[in-house]
Amino acid sequence: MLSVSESKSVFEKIKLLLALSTRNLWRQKRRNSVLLIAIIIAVSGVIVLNSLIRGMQTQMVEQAVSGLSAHINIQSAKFRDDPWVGHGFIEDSSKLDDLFLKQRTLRGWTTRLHTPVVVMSERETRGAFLVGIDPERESISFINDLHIEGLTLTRTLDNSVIIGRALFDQLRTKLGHRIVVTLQNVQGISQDIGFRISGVYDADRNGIEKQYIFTGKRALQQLLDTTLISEIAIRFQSEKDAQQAQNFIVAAFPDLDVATWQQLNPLSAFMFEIVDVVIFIWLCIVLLTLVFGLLNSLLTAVLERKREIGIVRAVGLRSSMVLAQIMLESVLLMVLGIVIGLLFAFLFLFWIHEGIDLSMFAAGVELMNLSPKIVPALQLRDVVLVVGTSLLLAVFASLLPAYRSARINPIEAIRS
Amino acid sequence: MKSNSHTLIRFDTVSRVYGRDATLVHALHQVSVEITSEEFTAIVGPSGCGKSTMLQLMGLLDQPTDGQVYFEGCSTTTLKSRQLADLRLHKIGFVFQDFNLIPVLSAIENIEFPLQLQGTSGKIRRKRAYDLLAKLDIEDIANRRPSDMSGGQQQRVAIARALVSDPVILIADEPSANLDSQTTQDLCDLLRTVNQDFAITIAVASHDPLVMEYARRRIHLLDGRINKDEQV
Ligand SMILES: Nc1ncnc2c1ncn2[C@@H]1O[C@H](COP(=O)(O)OP(=O)(O)OP(=O)(O)O)[C@@H](O)[C@H]1O
Ligand SMILES: [Mg+2]
Repeated sequence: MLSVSESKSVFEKIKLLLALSTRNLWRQKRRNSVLLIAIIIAVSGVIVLNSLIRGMQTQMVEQAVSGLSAHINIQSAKFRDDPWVGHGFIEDSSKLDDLFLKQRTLRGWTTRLHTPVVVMSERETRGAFLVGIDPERESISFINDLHIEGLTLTRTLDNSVIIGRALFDQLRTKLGHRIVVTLQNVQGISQDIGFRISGVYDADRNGIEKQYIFTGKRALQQLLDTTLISEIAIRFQSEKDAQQAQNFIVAAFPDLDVATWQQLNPLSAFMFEIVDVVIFIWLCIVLLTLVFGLLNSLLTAVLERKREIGIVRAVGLRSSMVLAQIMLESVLLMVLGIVIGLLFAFLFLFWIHEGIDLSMFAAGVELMNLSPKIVPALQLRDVVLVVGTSLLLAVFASLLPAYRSARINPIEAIRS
Repeated sequence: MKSNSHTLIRFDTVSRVYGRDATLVHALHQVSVEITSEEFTAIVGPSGCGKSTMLQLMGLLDQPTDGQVYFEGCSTTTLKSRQLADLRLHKIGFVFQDFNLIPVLSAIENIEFPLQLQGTSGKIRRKRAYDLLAKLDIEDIANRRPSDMSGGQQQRVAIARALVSDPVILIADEPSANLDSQTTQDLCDLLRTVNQDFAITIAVASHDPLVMEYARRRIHLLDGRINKDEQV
């Protein structure tokens, strides 16, 4: 334990160290302001870019889980292999209600009936997927947010279809016209069904527009004379909630194949996973270059101040205090750079908080399942990571210079 | 000599050798000497005779390669670096030839520096530093940085800093080397005042005849040995 007078003397020493450090930093205005600017650019650059990458990451996950797969997607193993309606399963509504109604982390769930079809208009023929949905339950997916020309589906008994813009253009048909789909029914027999196009939807992604035709699930079941469904899609409040519930759901459907969005969108999942690694590597590269700048500057400073360090040692400053003083200089400069850098980063992020448009590079962006607009997502843990790593590196960079300064022999320093 | 004086520093066959083999230099060779409290000693001799080496050993900045240095009766050979630093801080005041001050601190802050290291509180510190400035007649430069002071002023501030923590001995290595004769004269007067009025022991190395004049004891060194030790 420190006595009152001892702690007071420690306080005086800290004050002295702070005064010496700040003034020594100030003494080399030019050199240190260049370094400071480098730190500011590095810190604000890393924070801004990390936020954008995080924004992309969030968006990527959002895209994936708002897709048909949702967080967790249940199909029969056979259907995954060969998506024929006959590979569907019976919907046990009371079991699903029992299972899901109590789940607080659940955002929603729905069931769908899928079938591959050949679509014919009066002019063209294309392959696509016909998906029977329950519109009232589709708030968990992108379907509810689709921009639609014409009428959307509102009930599970709706027997018209909505069709993606891209496919619609390819089929060279008109709103309100009829299309005929050919599919294999539950009996394995080819069956033609006519549908009226009630709406045309625009999706962010071309792939969806070309692939999916939606109709009411109940209506499709009636047309196919079946009660089977192809999948259950479950959406949670967050990724973490989904992970926690996964085992429980697997256990609840022992005969079915329970897949996560990561398994169904391996590319997105991979991108999601490597973002953390990318952020860390990029942080290390930027900050390591800073460390060398800092190291160089401090080594020069120690060399320049050799004589005065000799004097203060002769007067009675302990070498540990010399060590602390040099380390303090490094940390002070870094702290100042971090504070200003964060400020700049926050200002910039606020300026672009509505998102920046990357449509110039949209082709590449779409490939990664992204919309062209990226909204930055500032995460506390990224800020903590940047601040923590920078401070650590500031200490690290000062180790050698501080050690050298503490080793300075006062006699030699004064003699030279 | 006054009755209450006592031995402050004792050299017992002290040698200090620099370098090794071909570059070996015997800076001090088996020197035995005592510095008594309240003495004003000049260490004189030609360049390279070992004056600085002797002062550094007295001031606990250096350790002998052979023999023993006793400070206030205690052997210093076994002391650790931080213990030596603390002894210097509390017991010894240094003045060197030039570049004595910490460039980023003002005169008053330079003087306060040792007190701050000792943990003296701000008020007391400032008062003692100002008292010294007044006694040394340099109040007007209290807030100047060393780069804005003359050589004589710098040496006065250095002496003030050396005195502020009430040391038992003031060690000065050629303090007048870069000063003109008038300033040297003033400095010598100041050293005499410090010695007589503050009752602080002084050991000063110098080539300067004027400085030798002021000293009451002269130790003549030649090639690392004591050639002559005279009281005046
Ligand atoms: N660090 C060192 N390394 C090698 N030799 C040294 C070192 N310090 C002193 N010497 C040598 O020791 C001898 C005594 O040096 P010292 O500095 O004590 O002499 P001095 O009397 O103070 O001389 P001056 O009047 O020039 O200051 C000299 O020959 C010097 O070259
Ligand atoms: Mg010398």
